[in-house]
Amino acid sequence: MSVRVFVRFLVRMAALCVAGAGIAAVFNTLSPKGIAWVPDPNSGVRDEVLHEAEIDIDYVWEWVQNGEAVVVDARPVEEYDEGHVPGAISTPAQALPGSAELLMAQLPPPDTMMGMTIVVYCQGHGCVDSMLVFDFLAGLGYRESVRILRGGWPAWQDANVPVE
Amino acid sequence: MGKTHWLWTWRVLRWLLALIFAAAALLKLFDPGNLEIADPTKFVGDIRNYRLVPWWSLHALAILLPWIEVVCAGALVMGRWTEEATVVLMGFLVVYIVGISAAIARGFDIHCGCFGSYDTAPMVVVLVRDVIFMGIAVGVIVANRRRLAAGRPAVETA
Repeated sequence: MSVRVFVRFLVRMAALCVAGAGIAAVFNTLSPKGIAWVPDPNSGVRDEVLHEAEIDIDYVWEWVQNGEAVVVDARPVEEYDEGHVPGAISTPAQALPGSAELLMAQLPPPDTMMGMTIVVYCQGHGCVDSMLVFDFLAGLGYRESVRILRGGWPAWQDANVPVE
Repeated sequence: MGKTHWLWTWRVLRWLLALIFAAAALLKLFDPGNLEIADPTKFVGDIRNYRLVPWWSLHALAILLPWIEVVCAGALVMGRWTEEATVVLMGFLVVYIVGISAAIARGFDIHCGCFGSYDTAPMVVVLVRDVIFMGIAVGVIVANRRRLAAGRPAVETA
């Protein structure tokens, strides 16, 4: 392959990507569900925020026993019905914000949490549902109070702690 | 195999690759269950779950990736710039295979997001699937080269 053919190949590859990017930009601008090109740095989207937010099961079980945590189950209702952390409030992430009604009724305002922690969990380690609920609660001002259970529901089942 | 055989092998493989990527992209962009535009934040969440790319790039990737896949699939259907489109898609597949392997190695129980929010296949299945797609992509290029070679007149010797 000559240099000229190789350069032409690269230019055409770039052209395909630029054409796709152009359509994407127009679609995102016109779509009612369009999003910002760069996420809000204060949302839970940052990796370091998530890293800081993860919490081990030992702490969570202690908080649950002491009534110091509001546990939120972000999985679909059917999975919640099959078993969940004792006292967990079902808040399916895929049905937000409507699914958060019960949770919002039980949560004190963000500035009066008084040492209470909200612990969110979902189907497994690093699963998206917890993060969606995390973002939702962070957006309502609970960012400092909300944590994600490391390992999710499987970790809770594997640990020697009660289930409901 | 003769020129016609390679021509049809090339056509079938590029149509197949186009179908796979067009389906993957359109299911990220549109929700067929509710007949509406899909919520892009779900795809953002899927990419974020791999924890491989910086947070500021998540939205841009979710906006750009599906449409670049659509354009490349379109080129493959039309039979124009097919090798260029295939190499772009192979680049995506390499990134996907690395990302999925890393997620498996790190024990993440996540959804691939490859075919929109309906894609809940286990990660190992997704990995095997992407390797097969890579095989199809290699097949498109090989068949194209064989097709062109078969169509050329024999080299004359002095």
